[in-house]
Amino acid sequence: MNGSNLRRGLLGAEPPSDDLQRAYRERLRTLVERPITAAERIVQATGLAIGLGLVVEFVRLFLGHRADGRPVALVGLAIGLAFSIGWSVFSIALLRRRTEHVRWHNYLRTQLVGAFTLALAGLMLWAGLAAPDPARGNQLILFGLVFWATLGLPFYVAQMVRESTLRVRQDLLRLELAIAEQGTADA
Amino acid sequence: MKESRPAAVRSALLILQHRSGSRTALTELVEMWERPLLYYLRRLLDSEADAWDALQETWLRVVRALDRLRDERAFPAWLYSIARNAALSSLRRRRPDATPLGEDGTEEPPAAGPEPSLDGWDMRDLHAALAQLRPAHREALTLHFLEDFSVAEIAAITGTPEGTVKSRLYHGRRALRQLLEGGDS
Repeated sequence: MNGSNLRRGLLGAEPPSDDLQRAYRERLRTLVERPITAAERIVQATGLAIGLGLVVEFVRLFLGHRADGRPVALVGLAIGLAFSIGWSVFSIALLRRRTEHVRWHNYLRTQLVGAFTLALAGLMLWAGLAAPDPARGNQLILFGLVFWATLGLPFYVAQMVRESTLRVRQDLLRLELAIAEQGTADA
Repeated sequence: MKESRPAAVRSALLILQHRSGSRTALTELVEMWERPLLYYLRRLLDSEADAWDALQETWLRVVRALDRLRDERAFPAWLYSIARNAALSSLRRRRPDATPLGEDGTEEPPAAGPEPSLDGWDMRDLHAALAQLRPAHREALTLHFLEDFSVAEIAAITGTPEGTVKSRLYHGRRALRQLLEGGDS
């Protein structure tokens, strides 16, 4: 008797109760969706308030310096504005859901902070190179490099190694799965 | 080297996708194993409601420990061993004095010769006959029938020596055949 037929046959011989299955599914939702605690909601709401405050401030600065601002300053304001909007949208979405996905939201949060770190470090280097005063420029470049070396680089290297490893392993498994399924079909 | 089983490889892939931050991988993994695990737990526990509760407990334990699983291809056996522990906890809560699973008697070594064949029987009869076996035989055969687990894997899941698992599979098959043919087990 073919193993998969045997499995299918046995599973088919005992259909589960719809009511019990529905109740189980309902309870199981907490497995991937973790409720946000009251303390976390306060932290998230504070983050949202700061984010919205920054949006207003960045918009005000951007509009105020649109005509006379140096390109590097305008790009810096645009990056800050984009990050503040991203963070505010993320906070609003979480506060409205009242739950957090065990992986997905953490992944989004990490990507958001990582992108901001990279953008900020790049901006400092650019601002340093474009500064009319060489002393001030060198100072900015040094800040940018230290910021990048202490926060950005370790984060990105760790992320890249982790993600590349996972990607390569997933590709190998996809290949192995195709071979295993072909073998099963042939059998 | 043992041939890869598609379910084990697909599970390993879903675990890696979950670790990469996938929103749906864990749900897919749960859905993939829900029915066979429920069937297995139903063979160990007294009621379907208990089996669903143990299944939920299984997934809670799995999620807590999933990041520590080093060999993702070993997920199926690991999953079943967690389900078994969840069933044992449920049994202990309900019947503190009951004999633990798989310790319901000594096993004669399997006789020489071919294994008793179960080909050609109706699935509903096979399912009904399975319910009449001794719990240890039923558990070993259920694991073998559902996932085609090897003797070593069943031994690891049940925490039993391989020789005992071989005996359980042999005597379980023999008893099952007798039941299907209308004899006594």
